[in-house]
Amino acid sequence: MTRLFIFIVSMLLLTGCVQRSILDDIQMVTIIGYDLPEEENEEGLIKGVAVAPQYQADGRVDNSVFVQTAALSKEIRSQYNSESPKPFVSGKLEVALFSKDIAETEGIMELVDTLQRDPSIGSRVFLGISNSDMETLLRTNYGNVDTGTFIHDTLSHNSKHGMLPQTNLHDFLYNYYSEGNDPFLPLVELDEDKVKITGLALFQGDRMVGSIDAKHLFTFKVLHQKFSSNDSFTVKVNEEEHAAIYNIASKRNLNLKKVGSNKIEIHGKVLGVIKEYSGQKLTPAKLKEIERAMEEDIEKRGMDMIEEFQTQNIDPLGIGNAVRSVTRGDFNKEDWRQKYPDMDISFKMNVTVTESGVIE
Amino acid sequence: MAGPEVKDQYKVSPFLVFYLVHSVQVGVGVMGFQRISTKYAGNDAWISVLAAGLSLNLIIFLIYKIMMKEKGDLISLHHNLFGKWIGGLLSLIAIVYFIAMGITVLRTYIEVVQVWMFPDLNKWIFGTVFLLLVYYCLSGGFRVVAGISFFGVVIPFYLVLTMIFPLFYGHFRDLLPIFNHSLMELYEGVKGASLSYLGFTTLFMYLPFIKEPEKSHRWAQGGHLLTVFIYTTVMITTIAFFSPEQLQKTIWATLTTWKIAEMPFVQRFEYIGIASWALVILPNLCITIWAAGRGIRRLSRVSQQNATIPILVLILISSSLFARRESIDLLNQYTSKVGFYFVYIYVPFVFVFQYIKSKVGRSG
Amino acid sequence: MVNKMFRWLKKNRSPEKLKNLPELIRNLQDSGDFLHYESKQQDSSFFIYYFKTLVHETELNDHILPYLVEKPLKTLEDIPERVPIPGVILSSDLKEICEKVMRGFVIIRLNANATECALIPSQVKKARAVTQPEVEFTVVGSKEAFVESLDTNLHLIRKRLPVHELKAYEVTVGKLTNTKVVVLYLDGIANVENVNTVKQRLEDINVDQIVDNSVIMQLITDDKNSPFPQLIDTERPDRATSVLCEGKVVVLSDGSPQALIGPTTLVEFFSAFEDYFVNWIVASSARLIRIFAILFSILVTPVYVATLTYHYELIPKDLLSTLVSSRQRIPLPPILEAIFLELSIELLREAGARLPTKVGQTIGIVGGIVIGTASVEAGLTSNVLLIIVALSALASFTTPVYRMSNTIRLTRFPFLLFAHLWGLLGVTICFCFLIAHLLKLKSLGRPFLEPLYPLRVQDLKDAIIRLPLKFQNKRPIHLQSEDTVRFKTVTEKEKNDFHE
Repeated sequence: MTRLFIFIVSMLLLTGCVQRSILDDIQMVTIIGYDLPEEENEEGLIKGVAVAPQYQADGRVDNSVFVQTAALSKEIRSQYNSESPKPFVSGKLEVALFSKDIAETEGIMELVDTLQRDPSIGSRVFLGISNSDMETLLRTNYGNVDTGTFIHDTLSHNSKHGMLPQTNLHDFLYNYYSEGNDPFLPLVELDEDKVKITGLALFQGDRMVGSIDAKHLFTFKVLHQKFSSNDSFTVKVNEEEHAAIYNIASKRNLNLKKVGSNKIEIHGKVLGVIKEYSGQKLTPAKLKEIERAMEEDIEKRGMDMIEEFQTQNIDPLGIGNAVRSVTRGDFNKEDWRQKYPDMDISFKMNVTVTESGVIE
Repeated sequence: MAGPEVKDQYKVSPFLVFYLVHSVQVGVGVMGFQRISTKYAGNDAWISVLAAGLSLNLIIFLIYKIMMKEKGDLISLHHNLFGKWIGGLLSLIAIVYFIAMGITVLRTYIEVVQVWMFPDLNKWIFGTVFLLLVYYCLSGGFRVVAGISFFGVVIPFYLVLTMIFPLFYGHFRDLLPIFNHSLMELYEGVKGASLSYLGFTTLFMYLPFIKEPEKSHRWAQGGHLLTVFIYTTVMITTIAFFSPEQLQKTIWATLTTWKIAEMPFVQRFEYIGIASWALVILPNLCITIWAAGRGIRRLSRVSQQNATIPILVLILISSSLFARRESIDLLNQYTSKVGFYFVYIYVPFVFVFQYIKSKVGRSG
Repeated sequence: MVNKMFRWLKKNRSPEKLKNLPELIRNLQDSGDFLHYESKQQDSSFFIYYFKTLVHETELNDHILPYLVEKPLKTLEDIPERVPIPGVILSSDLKEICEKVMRGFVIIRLNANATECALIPSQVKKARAVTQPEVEFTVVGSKEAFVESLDTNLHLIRKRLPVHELKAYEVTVGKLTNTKVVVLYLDGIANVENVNTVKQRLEDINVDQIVDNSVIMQLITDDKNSPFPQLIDTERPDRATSVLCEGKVVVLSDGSPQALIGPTTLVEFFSAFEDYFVNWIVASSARLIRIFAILFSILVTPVYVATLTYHYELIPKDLLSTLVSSRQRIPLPPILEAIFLELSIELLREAGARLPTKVGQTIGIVGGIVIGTASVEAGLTSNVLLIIVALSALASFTTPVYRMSNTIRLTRFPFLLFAHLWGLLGVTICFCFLIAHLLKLKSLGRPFLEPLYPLRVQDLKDAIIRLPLKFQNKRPIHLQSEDTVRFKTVTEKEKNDFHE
């Protein structure tokens, strides 16, 4: 019995070990960017730019950038390994960026699929589309932080408290595979030594077909989901008067009662606080006026947006999924696609200003 | 053949049947049962899961009816109903089924670990260590097996709380419209869901080890209801979390939902989940292997220790022989099919047969 | 082999070999401290024999001899009548004589060849005075601790429990030491089976020497191959009394300032006696902290090793930079780093325990600071791990029972090994082994994990938390007490309203 025990223990120690990834002996990629190569002869290949932070003992963070070109994204990884002193791991990936070229010409699903297939990659990885040159974007030094965390945090706080809708890997896949949703991803751009969110890229399937400008993000978010945000929305009451609404809480409601007659109503409801006002005095009447101005403004922008979606035949708002949820029997995705551009979608806003700051 | 004599000191309290039933049901199935049910029943799969669960309450009721009349275990039941040879054969089939369940559980768990954590995990070594652990538990007798199943339920129960995180990402509109599938589709869903409920048939073996077995009936039903509750909740969460096609592509949906969980001190909860799952798997293996070993002991004169060791070796070897994903899937399918018929056809049949036989016996 | 040795011992010292009393006395005279002289009176004389190191000589001279010499002794039967001391016996049984003389009796013979003699008790009773408890010191509560003398210890318990139900069953254990061991229990309260188990196990002991109660503990414990103690030892007479009232069995042995308590459960090892002296909320939170500390102490280093070796994904990104930069210069893998630190803590502890108190403290502090700082600076360990290991060592010392804290620290090493093998999965598997082991353990045949398993809700009132005293009106179920009710709670009907 004792001998058996010793035998088992020694067997364990000799052969039981599995591949280790000791924290300081691995190259943790925090951000990866995919771009099309510039050279002509590299047709059909993909350029991958990976950044791995090097944490120094004195607290400094250096970013190592690896650039490789290959046909498959996993092949890129083995090429990274050939020029790195430590093995590459992808478990700490925070952001994956795709160049606009890839998104528009080839579609990103092939690349996203490798992210989805790798169990070590989390569902909270942010995806994004960039118009800037990927290598320059990722080679830029953003201060004493690791690039991945920097861009991740930029996207994260904007979608948590700002005007950006939530767009991580899971959301993208949910929308991509869903019968009545089309995915969208944030657009980021290099702005000197910062990264700026410039809008939203809209997809049909995995191909980017359009975009929304940053100034319309608020409207999109109102149309898309329930949220609360700390960002402000500026209302132009008339030529010289402006009001800024803060602490916005928004709800959207889909009225699907008249789907049979191809009518869908979207109701948006916004609660907010006035923090800035350029006019003289805030009277209740003035408040009403501000509310109405804001309602009209958003309604107009929203309707434009919806029409735009309908002409492009994309459905980032998930109206199709809502229709599916009230359709008995099989919901046919193709039929819906054909019906969608002709749907009569209307948008009604309701704005309530609850407070007008601490000063009357 | 009379039922087994079990000394009072080796019996456990009826209340523990709650954990014995619950822990043998919750096993590897929970990690990915959603895909199979939603394949047929779509967003109504949770109804299938609930229906499958509630219908099994009836089966448990039947098992208790049978066993209260028999006052023994499955072996003596077979012996008395079908005679020495046919009864013995049926008992042998049941034992093989228990062993197959053990193989399925161990192999599927090793597969999960290999895919998610350690691709180069040596399944021989890991299997040996895990089965040594099982042997260590079994050597303490049924009391320890019941204890393991108690702790196997209580300690990992915190994992249920982690199901809150995917709720933040839930699209509950996906559950609508309810009852949008035909009964046939729902039935196929029930069939798919039943694998994850199986295992409570081990009741047939350990009932003689319960003090006042008739009192344990409500605990057995309760344990099963807890399983039904957990499965239905997980199913609803999953349907809301994934879009249908996405779910079809996800082999281990529960693990994937854990990926979204994030706490200030820990990210990527699925690694903790998989590791904690060892504690959930352990009672599963312990109970099935105990039932198989006990069966052999009752059928022959072999001691339970001498019966258990070959079973463990058999499980180790055969679970290591399944190397490919497809063969593991096939194994899962076969055990679930056999289990499905065992539960839904064989148990009612035995009930009716026993009833007729007792009527005939009385009149004759 | 061992038995053979004992037989040899038995043979050599067996009085059977000596044919009669004179021969025995001749044999005893080999020892220098064996005194013998003839007391000659005018018409009668008698012989006195005793070990001067065992006998209270003043007492002998002042209170015994005067009675013997006041009148001439005719027969031995006179002696018990004359000497006003109880326990004087007449015997010709060599075995008895031998035993008594070794326990401080004085032999009196009327002539040098007589085979019968009188035995007068006159033991010297030298015992340390009752002092303060040192291991289980409490701020409030009694300041008495057991001492080495069995009689004193019995006195300490008896004066706290002046009831006739308190029985003290005596067994002599040890071929050479002939140690008196006493089983204490409350008749009609303690479970008979428990008492009999203890008695049986004590009687079955077959060794030559009992050094301390700890030896008895190892000999009568249920699973001798388990690192977990299955009986509690205490130096507090009040604690011993209190568990007697619960229906437990207490074992005292001569020469040992510790009492053994059984049957016990795992949770009892984490309840300090002081918990009963403070308010139940304070006591309960102290217990919860202790249980958290134990889990922390066992698991934190293995989890550190597992996470750093395999599961870097689990670490939140804010913590990542701290961990990576702290390990940047360290050449060792996490497992060696952890073992190195754990071993140095063990070294410090062991050195501190072996050295005299004052020096030991210095070693502890100096070693801790100097070695810790130096090893971080030398790049042998990371400062994060240093904090973790120090904290977990500290946490292991919160265990109120000393033996348990040793076990806890030992338990960490298999966990470390498994963590190194299979990461968190290994930790869980090791945890499963631990649970299975604990499930198998018994204390005097009663389940060790009670009231957690088997789950007994009633006993949870004094387990992980301690409810108010009015809820402690029933004896724990696991003791299977003959009388389950401790006291009846008289509930005053309270008006269901605010105070006016």
